[in-house]
Amino acid sequence: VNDSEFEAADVEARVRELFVERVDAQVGPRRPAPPFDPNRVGPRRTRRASWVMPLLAAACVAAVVAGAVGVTRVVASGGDDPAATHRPAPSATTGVPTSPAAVVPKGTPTVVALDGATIALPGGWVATPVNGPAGGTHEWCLQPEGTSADVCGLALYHVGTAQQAEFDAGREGFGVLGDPPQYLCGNEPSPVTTQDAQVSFGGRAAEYRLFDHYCRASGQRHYVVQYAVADSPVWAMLAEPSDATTRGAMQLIARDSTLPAS
Amino acid sequence: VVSQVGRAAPSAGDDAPSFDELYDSMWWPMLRLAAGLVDDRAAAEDVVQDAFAALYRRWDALRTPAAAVGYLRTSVVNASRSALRRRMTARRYLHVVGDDGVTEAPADASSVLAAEHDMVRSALARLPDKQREVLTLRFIAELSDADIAEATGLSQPGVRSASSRGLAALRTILGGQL
Repeated sequence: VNDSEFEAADVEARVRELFVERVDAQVGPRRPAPPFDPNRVGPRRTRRASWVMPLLAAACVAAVVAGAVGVTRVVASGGDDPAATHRPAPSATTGVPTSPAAVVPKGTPTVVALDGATIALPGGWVATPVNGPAGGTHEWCLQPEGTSADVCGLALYHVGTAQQAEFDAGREGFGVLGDPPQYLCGNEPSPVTTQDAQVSFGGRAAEYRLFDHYCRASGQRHYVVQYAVADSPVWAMLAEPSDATTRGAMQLIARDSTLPAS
Repeated sequence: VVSQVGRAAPSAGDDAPSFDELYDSMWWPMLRLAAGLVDDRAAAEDVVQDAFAALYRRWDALRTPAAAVGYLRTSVVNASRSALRRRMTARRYLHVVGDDGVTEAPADASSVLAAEHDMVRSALARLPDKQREVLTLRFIAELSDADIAEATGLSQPGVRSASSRGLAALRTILGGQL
């Protein structure tokens, strides 16, 4: 165990200790459960906090404004619901669909060697190893240098042989690596439409998928984008969710990198 | 076995706990878990009562008694997410907190311990939801990766990844303050 590993374990132990102390301070000493309230099973008991009435008032105003805007838009668009009319762009057979937009970076790429692959990154980007997945899978976070380590917008995977049996290029997050949709739209139901295409990634045939999550509550769209070379050695890229910059970076990486041949 | 609230124990075996027994034994661990997730005791109590109420409604449909605990954990995690989302919505309207989204400091902020708790709370508030959830389930509920995966809906590699990233982020955020 080297010094940095020891230090990391030490910090983890301290963080764990503080976690527990923080919760202990909140809940106090152990006490027996209060009587279970069967009435709670019926109409939900609510505590009307001081912010509820202002919030309701604000929500009513917002609803009226949104309704007025919605009517205007519906009339202007011939009466179609924007969510209902969203359709994936036609699937391309040779390239990535053009919608949603992607901003492909210009300039000289940064080239890094990873597990026998030559990965071209947008200039100024770095590949940081992540000690996450098991099964012999190696993961790197691809991001602009100096970006906060707590959010990884784009991950690159060299999928280990032990995990290849579970790996599914057609499923969101490949079935084994991604997050469930609840992290995109809270717990709200989110209709998902999919775009797919056959593309090239690092000189090898790859599956492209874009999963378009529409969050009804917020009205936001989130685009999960992934590239997968499904034949061994298996490589994959995943952005969840993606923005135009990330999608452009993925196009550059797919186009200019070289993956080991099968 | 019929519980005080009229629920028979699952038929998996004679030693299966009744709803009341499960409520008595699991209320406290679930309260601690919820408190770790929502950072507020009253909200945590509501979350736990809602989780047990939901379990009560499904009690007869449970496959095995063991499924009840997993169901409770998942309910607590989901209800905590909803509670946090409602709280954030309220804050957006009323601007009751600062830009960092952290609640007000405890009254006894002068003590070293309170300051450390506040520091950890601030650091946790900056983590993405899944990292905060995974670390709380790991540290407070002391769950295995498999159980965390069940409670959060993540894959096991996803749990390990979120845990690793969350800890790395906490080390970065807290720096040399620990």
